[in-house]
Amino acid sequence: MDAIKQYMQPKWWLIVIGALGFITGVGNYATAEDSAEIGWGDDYTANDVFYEKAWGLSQLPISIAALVSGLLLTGRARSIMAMTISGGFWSSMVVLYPAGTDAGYGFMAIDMLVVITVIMGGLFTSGYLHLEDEE
Amino acid sequence: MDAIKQYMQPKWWLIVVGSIFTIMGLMTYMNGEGSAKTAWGDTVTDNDVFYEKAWSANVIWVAIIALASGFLIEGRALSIVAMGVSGGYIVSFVLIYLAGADLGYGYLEPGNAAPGIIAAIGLFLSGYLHLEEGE
Repeated sequence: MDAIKQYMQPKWWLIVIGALGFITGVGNYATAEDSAEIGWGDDYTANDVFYEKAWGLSQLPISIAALVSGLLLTGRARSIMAMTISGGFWSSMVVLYPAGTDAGYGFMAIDMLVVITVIMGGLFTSGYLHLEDEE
Repeated sequence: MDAIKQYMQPKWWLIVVGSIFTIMGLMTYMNGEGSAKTAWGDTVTDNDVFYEKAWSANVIWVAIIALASGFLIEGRALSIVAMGVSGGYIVSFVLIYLAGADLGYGYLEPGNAAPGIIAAIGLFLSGYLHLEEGE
């Protein structure tokens, strides 16, 4: 168990996931036309491009929360944030997935969602394993 | 200054902002078509409705982070989370505004945008004012 705990440090899970979220969010903003094309095929609209930009940017508060938690928090508070950020992701997916599959949105490919869900599972587990750490 | 600090408690700002975001996110999700019409007028597409729902999923995610941190974290860590989440929201709003103002997106008009921005600035200030508190 100690070996698992050693590699499941919420500090590094938060920093890596926060950095990935920041990069993919800004990336979606910068390449919104490509994202809209992946999402809907060739007949995307200017509204779709705007929404892709906005959706990418709406990741920033969450990404920054993950980054600052990883970099600046310690102990139990950091573990709570790790569990909360991953738990929030699953909650959002519960409402997002049915809407996305109904609409035929291209980013709802199940393999990609499984990968992200597993990564978030790692973040949650890292927080849970260190929940009783001192501040 | 002490009177201002007394009313600018990050715990309560996080709980109130988290509660409001939860209600807003769920309402937008359940009434995606109405939200799209508020944003674009009567001519909306299925894609617009989906994106409004998708955006609400991120709002719910942020709401969960705000609520959990407000209830479970204390002291300097709480202030850091308050500043991180609200700072990220303010940055993302400015960039979304730059991306969408020309398109006439209804939620970027001053009357619709002001409550969210005021809440974010208040949350940031509450964190800043209590940043030097102990754990």
